[in-house]
Amino acid sequence: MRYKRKKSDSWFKLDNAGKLYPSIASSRVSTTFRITAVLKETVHAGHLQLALDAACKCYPVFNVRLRRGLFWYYFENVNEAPKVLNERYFPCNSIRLRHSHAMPFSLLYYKKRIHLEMSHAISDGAGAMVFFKCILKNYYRLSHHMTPIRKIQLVEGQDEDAFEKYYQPKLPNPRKVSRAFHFPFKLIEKGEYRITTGLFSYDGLKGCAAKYDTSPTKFLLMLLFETIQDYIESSNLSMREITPIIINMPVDLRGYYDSVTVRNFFISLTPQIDVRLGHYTREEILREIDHYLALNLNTKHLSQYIRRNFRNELFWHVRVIPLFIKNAIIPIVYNYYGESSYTTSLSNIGSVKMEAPYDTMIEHLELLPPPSEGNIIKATMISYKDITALSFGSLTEDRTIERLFFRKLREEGLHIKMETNY
Amino acid sequence: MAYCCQCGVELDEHAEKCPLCNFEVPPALVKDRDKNRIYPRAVNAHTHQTDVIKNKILYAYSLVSLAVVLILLVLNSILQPEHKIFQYAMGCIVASILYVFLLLGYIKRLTRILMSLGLLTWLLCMFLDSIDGVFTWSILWAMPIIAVTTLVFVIVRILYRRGKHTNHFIFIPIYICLGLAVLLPLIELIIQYNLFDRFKLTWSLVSTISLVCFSGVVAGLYYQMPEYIKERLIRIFHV
Repeated sequence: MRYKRKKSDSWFKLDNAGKLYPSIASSRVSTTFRITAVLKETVHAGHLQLALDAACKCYPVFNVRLRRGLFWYYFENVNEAPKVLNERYFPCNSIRLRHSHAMPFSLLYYKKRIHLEMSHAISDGAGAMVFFKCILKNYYRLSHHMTPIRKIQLVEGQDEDAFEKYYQPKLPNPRKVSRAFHFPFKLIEKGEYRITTGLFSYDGLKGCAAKYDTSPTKFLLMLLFETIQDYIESSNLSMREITPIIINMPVDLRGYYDSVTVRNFFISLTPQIDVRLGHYTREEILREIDHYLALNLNTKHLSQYIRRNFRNELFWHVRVIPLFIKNAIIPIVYNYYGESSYTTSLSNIGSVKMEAPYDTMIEHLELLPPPSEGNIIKATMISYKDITALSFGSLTEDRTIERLFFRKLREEGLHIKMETNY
Repeated sequence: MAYCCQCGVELDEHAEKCPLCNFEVPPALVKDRDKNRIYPRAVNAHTHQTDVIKNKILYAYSLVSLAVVLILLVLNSILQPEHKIFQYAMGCIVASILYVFLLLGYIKRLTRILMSLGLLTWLLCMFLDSIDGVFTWSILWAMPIIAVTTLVFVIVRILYRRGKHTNHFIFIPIYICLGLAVLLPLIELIIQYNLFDRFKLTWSLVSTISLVCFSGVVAGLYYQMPEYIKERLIRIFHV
């Protein structure tokens, strides 16, 4: 259905992280992640549509369309919420950001599953989760013959650009990251996306992590490093092809700065091990991760990353470049400086909680990473009650990394249930 | 409930094999795949969208071209000119529809497209040459040049595919330059033979050397120079 042009006086700029994504979006880099709620009952499409309508009233910051300015993209508020759709395409492929008047999110359903596909142009995982919770609560209320929540008390700063707020111009740049190892796997067809999800007990995971005296995220990060190390050691790669293994670990900055924004507010930390120096034991990998995070996970260093990202958009010569030229240049720059500097990513949205009685409706949650041509395998993790879902999104048919990783997890004594879309 | 005995993981009720190691689940344990799917049979959004756009382009181009051909036919019948300008134009327009068809990728595999382009170009040249009733340049000039060009680019394509390079931005230009470096001397040989009945290379040598140097520099920068070459260069050129 074609979007009817309506005059709107309400618009806002994309935030610092969001500015990048519409320009790099393509058929293989959709910049869209997915949060899935697996319900106990089959989804009722009518109720879901009403729930979305109400949620869009509560969070108008999401009810926008992406428009082209002469120099930058911007979001324009719209009155009508988008239609909920039956899932039809491969995951994380429902939004076409480069098309005119694109909505930055779409709400899909299939059997017992509700999927919120959200573009990084507007929000990150934590921000999208706030919106998704609102939809789910409204869906529960409608399913139980209650009136949906149409208005909430908006907290001040919920739609702020937190990058701008916490930008400190006088800080030095953080150290540059070297070129990372990349998987030499063949890509699948454009538009396809392979998902491999493992479901296991959150308490079990915490128990496994406790054996190494560490947190679940660090434990999984260690296993992922070890998996890639095993892959490199078992394959006949020449020394020239081997570079450090660098894992992109997005950090939600809301925990470190006083912000409640539902828009993007994260930076990427990049712990690494250099396998050219020799084989790393688990303890050594953990030590590397611990030391790296201890050094970097504090507001002093995080502010450096915010400053590095934000100052690029302040340069006048960057600002005056017309958008169509930016669209041609930014993907190349991003590929060179962004994608090439990490091997894969592990994004953990943490343990999500829903208040009673809404929590009873959901069986578990899943999170899928956005597909990326530069980093063809990415992992995400989300926990709900006692179920943790760890998903690999992949643009290759090769399953070596997933196989090695889940076998390691299985060897730790976790019972894993596999789900795939292929 | 099925388990993979190699990976030890629990599998979906409908899974026919383990997604991690392809271990096959006994058929008795697999439930109705379509009924129990957790993801639908996905449509490829990209393919769907690309096909729609491609069809639109071909349809619009064909329509405009056919209209132009009709106009030319009418003009030709009314004016009845002595020269054959309308025949030349109509032949080119019809061929251009086929070029658009090939370039839009309706035929799968680049090697087939390249061969089809070569064949089409040769047929077009034959047609244009035949309008005045005598075959002249199409046999002596067009056919060998088209054959050599097609052959070189098909070989370049096959070699590129076998190379399994991951960085297309670097290696596609390199392979095209190397292809041209081989092609240009061959074209000059054909020209020399047809004009002077001899084989002598002049300008193509300059272009070939330049293209090979350019490819070498780009590849060298990409792979980074080996240490011993670096050291030798420093030793020779130090100031």
